[in-house]
Amino acid sequence: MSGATTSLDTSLSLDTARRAALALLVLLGIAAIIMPERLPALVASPLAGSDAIAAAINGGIDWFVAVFKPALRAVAAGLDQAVRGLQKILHATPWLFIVIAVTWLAWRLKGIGLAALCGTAVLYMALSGYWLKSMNTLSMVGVAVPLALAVGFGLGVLGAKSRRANAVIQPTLDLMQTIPTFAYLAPLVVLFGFGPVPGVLASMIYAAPPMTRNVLLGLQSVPQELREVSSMSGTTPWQRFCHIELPCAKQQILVGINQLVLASLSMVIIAAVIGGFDDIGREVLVATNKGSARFGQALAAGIVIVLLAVVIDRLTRAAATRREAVGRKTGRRAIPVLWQLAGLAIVLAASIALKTYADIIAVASAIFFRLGEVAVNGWLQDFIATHGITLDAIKKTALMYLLLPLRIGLTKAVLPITWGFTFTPAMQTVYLLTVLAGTAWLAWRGRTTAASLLLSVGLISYCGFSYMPWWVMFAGVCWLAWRHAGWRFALVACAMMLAITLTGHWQGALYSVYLCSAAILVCLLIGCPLGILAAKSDIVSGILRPMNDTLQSIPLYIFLIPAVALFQVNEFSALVAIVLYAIVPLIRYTEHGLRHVPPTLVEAARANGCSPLQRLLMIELPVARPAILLGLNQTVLFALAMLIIAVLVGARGLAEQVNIGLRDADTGLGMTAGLSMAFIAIIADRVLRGYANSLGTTEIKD
Amino acid sequence: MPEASRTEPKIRCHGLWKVFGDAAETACARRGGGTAIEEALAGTDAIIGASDVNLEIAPGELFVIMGLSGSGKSTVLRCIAQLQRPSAGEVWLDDANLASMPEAQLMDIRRHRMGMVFQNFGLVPHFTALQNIAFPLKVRGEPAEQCAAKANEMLDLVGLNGRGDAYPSELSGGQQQRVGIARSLAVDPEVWLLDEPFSALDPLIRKQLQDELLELQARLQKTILFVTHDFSEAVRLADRIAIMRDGRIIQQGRAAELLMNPADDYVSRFVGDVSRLQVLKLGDIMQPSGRAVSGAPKMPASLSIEDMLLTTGGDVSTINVIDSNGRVTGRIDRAQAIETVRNATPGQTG
Repeated sequence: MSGATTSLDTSLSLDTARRAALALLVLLGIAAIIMPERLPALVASPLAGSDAIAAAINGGIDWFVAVFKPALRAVAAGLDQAVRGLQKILHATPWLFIVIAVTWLAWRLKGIGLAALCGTAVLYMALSGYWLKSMNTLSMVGVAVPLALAVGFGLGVLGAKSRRANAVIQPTLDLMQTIPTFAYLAPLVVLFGFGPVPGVLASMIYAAPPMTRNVLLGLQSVPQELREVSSMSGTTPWQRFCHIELPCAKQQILVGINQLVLASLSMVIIAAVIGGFDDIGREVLVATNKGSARFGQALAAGIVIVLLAVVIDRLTRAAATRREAVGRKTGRRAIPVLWQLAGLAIVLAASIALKTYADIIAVASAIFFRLGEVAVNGWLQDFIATHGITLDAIKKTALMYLLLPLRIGLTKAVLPITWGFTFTPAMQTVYLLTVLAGTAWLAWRGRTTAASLLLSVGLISYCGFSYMPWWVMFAGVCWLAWRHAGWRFALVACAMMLAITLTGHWQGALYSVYLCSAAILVCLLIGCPLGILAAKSDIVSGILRPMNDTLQSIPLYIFLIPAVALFQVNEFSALVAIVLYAIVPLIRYTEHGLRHVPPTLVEAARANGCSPLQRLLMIELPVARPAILLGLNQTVLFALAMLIIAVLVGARGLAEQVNIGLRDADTGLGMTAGLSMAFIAIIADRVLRGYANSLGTTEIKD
Repeated sequence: MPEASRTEPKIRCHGLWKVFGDAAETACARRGGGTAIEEALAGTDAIIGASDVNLEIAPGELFVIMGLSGSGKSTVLRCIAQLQRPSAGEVWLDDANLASMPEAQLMDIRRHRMGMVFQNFGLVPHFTALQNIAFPLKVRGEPAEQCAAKANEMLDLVGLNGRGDAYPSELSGGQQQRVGIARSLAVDPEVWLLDEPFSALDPLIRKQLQDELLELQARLQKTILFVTHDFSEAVRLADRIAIMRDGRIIQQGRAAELLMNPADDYVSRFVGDVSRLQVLKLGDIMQPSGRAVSGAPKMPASLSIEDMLLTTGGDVSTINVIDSNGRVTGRIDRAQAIETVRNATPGQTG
């Protein structure tokens, strides 16, 4: 009895001690934020970054290249041959044939609607004068896809068969998908030289993970009973794989192939930054960087990329969802394969015979397109001339009232020339007291999540991300990681932040976090209401859904075009580009979460006399919260992925370092900065997912 | 088990244990068996699936394991099929110990000597009914025509002729399980394992399939291990029943034995749900005697007491019980029979 009492006492006192320590930490953090000048000891960083690690990586790569040069050259030469071979074939094929073949394929796979869409899209590519460049891009995709397919499938099967292999594969996939795409372009360039090869290999690395994940998911979801049936039928492991597991997982694997091809295209387009292969991505990149002066070209070529992505997406998806496996009679009469081949041969022969005329038509129409581009440029410049003041006002407002306070804090952002008044010490005191009082009140009411949210937002706006004392950031992130992902991950997060500091990327990381936070804030403010609207109105949903589908399937580059055309190259354009891309999952998951609130709950709310608004606020949104949080998680990851692209239009921080690493072939710099971004993404992902899971689980499948 | 000991058992489990969790598995493997394992597991958080299970199934016998969910009945069946390898103990099929047999040899045994029916039918969704039935034949490498011929024969056997090209999703639950039964019999196995085969079906279909199972068994004479959570199903089908709880077999024997002498309250609670008049046969309650009582009617030992009472009037006081050869083996006093049944009913015996 006495033993129990003592242990109770110690646990109580331990709890009190922990609370006291936490309170002290919070107070110290507040003090460090409020009066950094008075407490230099609290804000100084004892950890100086160095480029020793980056240098070591460079040394390692140099050594590797020196040792394996012949092998690397051989791989590079082989892939180069393959890409150029495919390029020759695609260039030699008459465009008329490809248009007809794609249309026919779309018709066979789905029907007349898809055929019309794909036919028009390919026709646009041919007539807009970007045909050869599109074919160059396709030839890179054409080589990358089989490679990614083999690697992705192999890893997926390995992971499904061996628990030990899976333990290695899962974190590797996480890393492969979170390391910014530019970061591994740099070492690939060093290893394989310029030209299409680094792009192809980067595309393979980027496109394999979604395939692996889907193969794993498919194989793991084969019902246990079927495995037992297979065993009792006396199958060998190989027979079981071929006859039971693979066919059962087929649908999921086809989804994986769809994602793989899209990712591959996206990465090939991104790889255009290294240049060396006259592809459509390069065209867009060059035109985009010229700003509004070449908006027409960027738009026309950008549309080609969008169409390419849409055609590939819809064709592979149609192939994946086709239900021929179950032997259903589709009602369409089957055309013998021989006839089909003969028909194709006739079309091919005809298009070869008509090649000259077709090419003349293409050239003529390309001239019209060029004229159109010039007209669009003129129109845009007129638009900017007349609406320049409005656009500038939008940009200035966002910079002054959102971006600056978040970056350098209200104390430095509120000036007579920006906000029209001085942020006097008296005002600062009132602001801080309001925040602290609000926090205390919320904490007293027992709403700790809301309290900590208010406190952190209030303090961050006060001093800005850039002037955040390093240890407050460390402590805050570790606390979040510990709360939502367990103490083990808190240690990992701490190690990751330490690595960021030691490689000299701390300030860059703070900048990246700042820009992403701003973008996510905007996404929340726009995306959640849109998601709610879409959940409440089938019309809004019907409009948003295809838009979201398209936004998700097109390569990231495209988002830069409108941002730059309207706002030139600066931080705000970067913000616009990030928001355009990252807002999609938030809209989708909000709608999904609200639409999947259990009907009995809705009925119960009605029966209790809730008004529609009460129902939304008190029943539907809280129930949908886990789904919305998962959407937010996706948004954060998307924002970080887009950040690296946004560097081309004015983002700075880590992404800029990665880009410099790529430009100067400084692999060490690029890799350490890239890994830092990956670490940020992994921490954000684990914390948000942990929080969403703690609120309840929702099943969401793409 | 007087019946089983007369011939060599087809299947024999000896000291069978199945525990889940890696630490528990190794603890189990180190100890020999029996109570030593219990001591080893005490204090660990091991989940026990089957603990010290001993049973023997004679050739041609229909043996039912009955228990509620989580009682370990499916675990025992899976340990016999070696879908789960036992943590300790032996599983003999004739003179081979399956528990220590390498996977390759087991594959051979499953290809030729075992068939299994699954609770949720376990039909491969991308195969037609015929392809499902032919699957075990195909994997052991039989030529395509032979597979097709045998599969069609099996389809006829379960009364599904004409539905061979249907996919599982196009069949009703009862039809799906017929395909499952046909597939399990396609390799002409000696041992037939059925894991709650009728639990997912509607009551009427269930009864129909139970009747068909008995008909099939009368013709094929397989050695059957049947698992169910439904005591009345067990009584309907079984030659002998084992009742399981918490991984242990609490009692095993013929239905009448369980009814007349339930081992504990748990068993008597199950037994309370079935009609004694139907389950108890004349042979179970007769007084053995080779001499016929003159003037008394003759009735077979396998007749239920209910049928006896329905076919005889109050004017009959004594009945001669005869065996399948028509030989008189005992006699029953009609009034005494009613008294016996009343006394066998739990709650009235005190």
